[in-house]
Order: sequence, then structure tokens, then C-alpha cells
Amino acid sequence: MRIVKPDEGEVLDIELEEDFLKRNKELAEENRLFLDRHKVRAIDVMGSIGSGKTSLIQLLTSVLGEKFKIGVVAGDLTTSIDAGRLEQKSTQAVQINTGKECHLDASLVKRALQNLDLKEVDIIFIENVGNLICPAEFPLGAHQRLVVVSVTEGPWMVVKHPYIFAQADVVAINKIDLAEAMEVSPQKLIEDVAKINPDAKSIPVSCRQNKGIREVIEALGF
Amino acid sequence: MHDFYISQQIAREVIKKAKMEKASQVTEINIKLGELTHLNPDQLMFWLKQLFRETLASGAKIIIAKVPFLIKCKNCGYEGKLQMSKDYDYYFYFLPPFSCPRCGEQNGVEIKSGRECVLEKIKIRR
Ligand SMILES: Nc1nc2c(ncn2[C@@H]2O[C@H](COP(=O)(O)OP(=O)(O)OP(=O)(O)O)[C@@H](O)[C@H]2O)c(=O)[nH]1
Ligand SMILES: [Mg+2]
Ligand SMILES: [Zn+2]
Repeated sequence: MRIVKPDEGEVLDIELEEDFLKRNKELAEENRLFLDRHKVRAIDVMGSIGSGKTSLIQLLTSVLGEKFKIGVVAGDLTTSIDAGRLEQKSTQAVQINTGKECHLDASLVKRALQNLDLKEVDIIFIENVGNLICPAEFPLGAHQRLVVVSVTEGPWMVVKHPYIFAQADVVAINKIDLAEAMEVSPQKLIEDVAKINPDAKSIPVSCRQNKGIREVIEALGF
Repeated sequence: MHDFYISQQIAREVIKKAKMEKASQVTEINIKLGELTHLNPDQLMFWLKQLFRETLASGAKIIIAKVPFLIKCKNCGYEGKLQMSKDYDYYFYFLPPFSCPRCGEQNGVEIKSGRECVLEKIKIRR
């Protein structure tokens, strides 16, 4: 900080040059280094409200839990319902309550990581707050981004929120058991993702019928 | 979208720095806001005014300057605006990969500005 010029009337200019979005990015980079040092792989799970983020993490955890030690960080405005659902015998779970916030940020995740015994963790799933807009602007330091969208949200979810899909490594198109009733084509959603982000892998999933879970695990590279 | 969250961080920083400088009043706050952020200047202004009520900064003039979205090409050195392709819908405009309007190259095109939300400076009275 530097005081530039005291002009008349005793008004002082104070230069700050503080970038509030960049600060989050830098913290995210710190988180990444911290995770790498502990040999932990983190996956940021994003998606709209009720799209099935917790359900999918539960199923991924029960398969991956046979080979790996899993940790979960659940973001929610005020409740700890999801962390409770995700806590299993072999899984460490931490709840972050964001209060009023529409997204997790890197500083919240940093604190959550301190509450996990990372020596006992190989993979961390971070469930972001249900929202397709804000989380895209706040990297957390995770190695991969998994976006969950479901057919019950209608046919336009992907094209309306390109920003978040542009950053996804894997996209789960969930609730395909309801596709017919909803008259929404999972294939169309997959094509929409491919237009925005040709590198993303889109997988049709039904958490209810336990379909597509192995494919998601494969797409994540396990 | 998260205008309230960022406004809160900015407001906290303004008051903290003003107190460190033993200010009796903050008279002006300068913010630079990138075109690519999901922040709306009107919302930011609204929340800041609310947050500054009954503080040192309650009467401060808040100036939010828009920072244009500019790219920089490592291949040919081009620096400037992106040309929007007519085949693209509006929202694709903001998505990488961008190709350089001069040499057409996609690799090595970086965002030079437009992603920032900077508290540039404040003016205070002691
Ligand atoms: N029919 C059907 N229902 C599903 C499927 N996946 C999840 N659900 C249901 O959808 C509801 C919301 O699922 P959650 O897993 O809590 O969704 P979420 O994205 O974690 O929700 P929030 O954290 O509240 O944003 C629950 O009632 C689930 O049982 C699916 O594949 N098919
Ligand atoms: Mg959930
Ligand atoms: Zn070029």
C-alpha cells in the first residue's frame, strides 16, 4: 500500500489495487499444492439444485470406496443434511455452511481441508452449492470438475449455462429414468455440451436405477 | 450473481484500510470491473451503498469503471478485442477457446483483461 498525494482539503489517495476474484484464484492454487503434497485428488462436483449431486457422490463413493479412502466436503447454505447422507463408515465428511453464499470459495475449502485427516484420504469429492452460475467463477483448487445436470430441469439447462459446462471435465446427465416422462432427450443435452466443450465427457446416468456410475468413474480416469 | 459476496469483501477492505489510515471519512472509492465477470455494476453499487450505511464511507462517491475484454496473441503479438463470429450466439462470445482475429491461431490466445474486480483506490479525509 502506498499513499500517493495529499491534495488540498486533506484528502488522501490510497492506492490499493486489490483484485477480489484473483485472490480466490491464488488461494485455489494453494489448495491444489496442498492436496498434491498430501497425494489427494479432489473433484469439484457442481450442478443445479436437486440435480442429484449428493446421490451421485454416494454411489461413486460406494464403488470407489472398495479401492480408495474417500473424503467428502459438502457445501450447503445452512443445513448438514448432505454431509449426513454422505458420511459412511469408511468415509470422512465435512460440512461447510456458506450462510448466504451462492457458491463455495477457495478459502472455505481451505478450512474444510484442515478438518480432514488427509493421511487417511485418497480422493475428495467437494459438493458445491446447487447453482449453475456462480461456482464457475470460483475455482476451489480441485483437480477435476464434474457437473451434474438432470433431465427434470428441462431441455435448455446446458445452453443457458454454457460457462459452467465450458469448465467441466465430466458431465453427468442424471435422472434419465425420467427422460420419457419429461419429454427431454438426454442425447440432445449431450450434443449441447459437445458444442460448448468438445473435451468434456458426457455420461447418461440414473442414480435411482444405478445406471452409468461405472462410466462416470471411468470418465474421471479411475 | 454473487454481487453481495464480493461487495461485502470490498466494503470490509475499504473500512479496514480507512481505519488504518485514521480516516474520519471516506470520500471516494474507485473500482475496476471486468466485462467477463458475472458481476453487475448496478448491483455492486447498490450493495456497497447498503453496506456503507452508518460507516465512515456512508457518503463516499463510488466509481465503477468497466474494463474491456481484451485478448493477447502469443503468435503474432495482436492485442485487442476479439472479433465475434456471426455464427456464434451471444453467450459463446465469452467462452474459450478464442481464435486470434489477426492470425487465426487458437493456441496461445490469452485473456489480457476483463476478468478482474479490483478495488483500485480510495480517497479519505483525516
Ligand atoms: N428419479 C430419479 N430421482 C433422482 C435421481 N437422482 C437423484 N434423484 C432424486 O432427486 C432428489 C435430489 O437429489 P440430491 O442427490 O439430493 O440432489 P443434490 O443435487 O445433491 O441437491 P442439493 O444439494 O439440494 O442441490 C432426491 O429426491 C433424489 O432421490 C435419479 O437418477 N432419478
Ligand atoms: Mg446435495
Ligand atoms: Zn495472432
